Amino acid sequence: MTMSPRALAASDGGVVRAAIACMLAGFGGFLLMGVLGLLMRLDQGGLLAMPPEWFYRIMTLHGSGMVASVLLAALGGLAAAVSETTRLSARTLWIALLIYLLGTGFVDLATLVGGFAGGWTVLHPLPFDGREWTLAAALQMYAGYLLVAVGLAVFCTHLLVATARTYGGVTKVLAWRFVLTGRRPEQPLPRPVELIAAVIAIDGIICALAGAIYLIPLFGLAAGMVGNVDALFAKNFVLLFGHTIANLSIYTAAGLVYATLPLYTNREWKTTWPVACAWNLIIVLMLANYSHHLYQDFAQPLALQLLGEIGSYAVGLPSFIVTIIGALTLMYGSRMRWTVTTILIALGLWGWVFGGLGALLDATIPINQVMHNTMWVPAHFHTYYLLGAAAFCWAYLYHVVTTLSHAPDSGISRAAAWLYGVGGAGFVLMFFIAGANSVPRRYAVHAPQWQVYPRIAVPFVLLLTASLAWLTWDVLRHLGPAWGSTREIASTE
Amino acid sequence: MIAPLPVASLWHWKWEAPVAIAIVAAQVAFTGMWIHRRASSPDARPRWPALVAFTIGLAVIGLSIMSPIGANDELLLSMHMLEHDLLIWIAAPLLLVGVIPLRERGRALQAPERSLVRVVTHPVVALGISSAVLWAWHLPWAYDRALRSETVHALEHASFLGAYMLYWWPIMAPASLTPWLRGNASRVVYLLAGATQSAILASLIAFHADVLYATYTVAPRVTSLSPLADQRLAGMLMLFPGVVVHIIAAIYLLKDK
Repeated sequence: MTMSPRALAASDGGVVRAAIACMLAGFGGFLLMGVLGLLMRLDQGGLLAMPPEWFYRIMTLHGSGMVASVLLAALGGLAAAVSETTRLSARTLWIALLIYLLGTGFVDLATLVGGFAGGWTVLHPLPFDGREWTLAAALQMYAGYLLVAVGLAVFCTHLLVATARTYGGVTKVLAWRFVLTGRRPEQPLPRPVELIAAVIAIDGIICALAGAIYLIPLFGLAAGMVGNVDALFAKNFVLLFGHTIANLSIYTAAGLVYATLPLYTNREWKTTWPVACAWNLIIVLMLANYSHHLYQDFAQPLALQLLGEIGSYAVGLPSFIVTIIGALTLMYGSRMRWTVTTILIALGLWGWVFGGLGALLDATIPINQVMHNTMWVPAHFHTYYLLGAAAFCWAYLYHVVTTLSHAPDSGISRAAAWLYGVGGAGFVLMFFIAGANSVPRRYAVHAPQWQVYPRIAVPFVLLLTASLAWLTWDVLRHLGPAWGSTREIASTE
Repeated sequence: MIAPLPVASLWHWKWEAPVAIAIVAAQVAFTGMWIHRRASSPDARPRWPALVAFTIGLAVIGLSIMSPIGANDELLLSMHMLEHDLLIWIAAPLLLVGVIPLRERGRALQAPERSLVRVVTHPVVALGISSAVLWAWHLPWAYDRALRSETVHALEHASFLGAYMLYWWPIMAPASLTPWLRGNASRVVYLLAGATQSAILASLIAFHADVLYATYTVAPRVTSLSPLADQRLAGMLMLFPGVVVHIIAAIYLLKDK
């Protein structure tokens, strides 16, 4: 089914090009990081002999690169969706993209050339005391993070200012009066996607600030200007930064569902009170749940531990009740056709539910004490990443490219989209079963009795690879006409 | 182990008459052309910022070569790298800010000349030449050769400056001078490619397990840095300023279109 380009035609062609570039850069990064993931599973299954120092380098790059890639793609998609009603600056988006990509380049070089292998959450003081890498490599890694944070801050600040300007202020784009009184204001409420953009922008700015607060003292320490950096402070802030970035990518990608699904179901997704309320709650809850990664740190204050548990449970409520139930309600009885976009959205909802449930279990303190260092953790985040956030992003990318190029999707493309689900499900299931059987995570060398899980996972990864190879080809062959079509958008303004 | 020299030895300047003469000559020639163009084309006069930028660009060249930065370039790789940073990231684009308005108002090139300029300033060629020059001079053999010979050293600096004026040209020159890199996407790709190739080289230098350039292992130590630590610092000095300059360039050169 070919969708009408109605919505995108209202956008600025330059902004749509910048948004497509962000989505493509994110997609490219996702594919490359996926290859690294396959290498790691081959190694854990004993099918490939990789030196442990290289395993940890790759693990570090895979984690940081995947989060950065999916977030970039999601932000690009959000910019395209928001630009239908909000005037964005193409120049600012391109500058943010350049800074962001330079940051990811630093991370690539710090790991692949510099040998940095401390894990993507780089818990201080480990990075400064690496036996396999130099301080210069740690600093390059940190500088990469800082550049990503700056790129994110530029993107989010612009998004917040632009949406606030369109609706007459931050409180108006967040629909606070509506949330607090329940009465619809006279002037139109923002669409859900604009409200979500403002939420994402606020949390993105706070997240970038947390990154700077964490990273700048570490640069000071390396330069001899700071005597000591408290390890617990560093751990809290690296997770407030890193965990929030990961969460941000998921919620940004979820925002794309609000922009896409109404076009395929021919039903409006209104800014109802539950939608406005839920997304406003997410501003706080997204920042509050990182602490569930510190349950095993005895020095962490009890209040923060409890905040981690409560925040993790609470953040699930708006997601489940509003977005997932809302999306299913929109789809139910709509006679929506199954296209690549809708298949990936459906898979994304499925992955978000199961990944989220896995996360809720991990966020429960007694379970966490047993499960947190097992494969259960990669199981839950791979589920809501690969089958959740990433699926939403590729759904939107596919939607934009095929809409702009007026290209109908083929039966093979739809089969490839379903295959993405089959491959992804088999792949993450092996993580879950391994976690339930207490197989530890972050081990380069797996004992023979653990190797069965990655060995079963590998064929599913190959299915995923086949699916992505076709979808990549499909996107690339329609990219030229789609890109040209953005020039027509600009010329019709 | 050679005992460190007093820190004061770091702060000496090096008078280089040929460099000073070349800088003054370039300034005089440029100012003459600038005045002539202002007088001859009252409708499209080159503005003051062009003269100011060119003058600062020349001053940066003088500073990089004759200040303690250049004066210590045979003792510390980090200082040598800083010297190169100033030449390629600061001086080269500033000189172009001055030269481009004059070129815009200059005589039209003849056909063969125009074709040659068109080929050389093609982004792929410009990026290829500037990258090749940067990488070639950082080969241990070439770098050590430059450190041993004043003439080769001067050639190294001149080639860096020339190659990087070429690098910046396609992205800084207006549409009347170059048809390339008119859109944001191509500009971002170009800037990313330029920043990435130098970042890869910088990382290879910073993270190399041994001292790459033999001259620095036998040079008198003027700081407490070991030759390897100096090399790591040099790599970082090549990495970070390059990225910052590319971000500043993006802020100036990207447009809302």
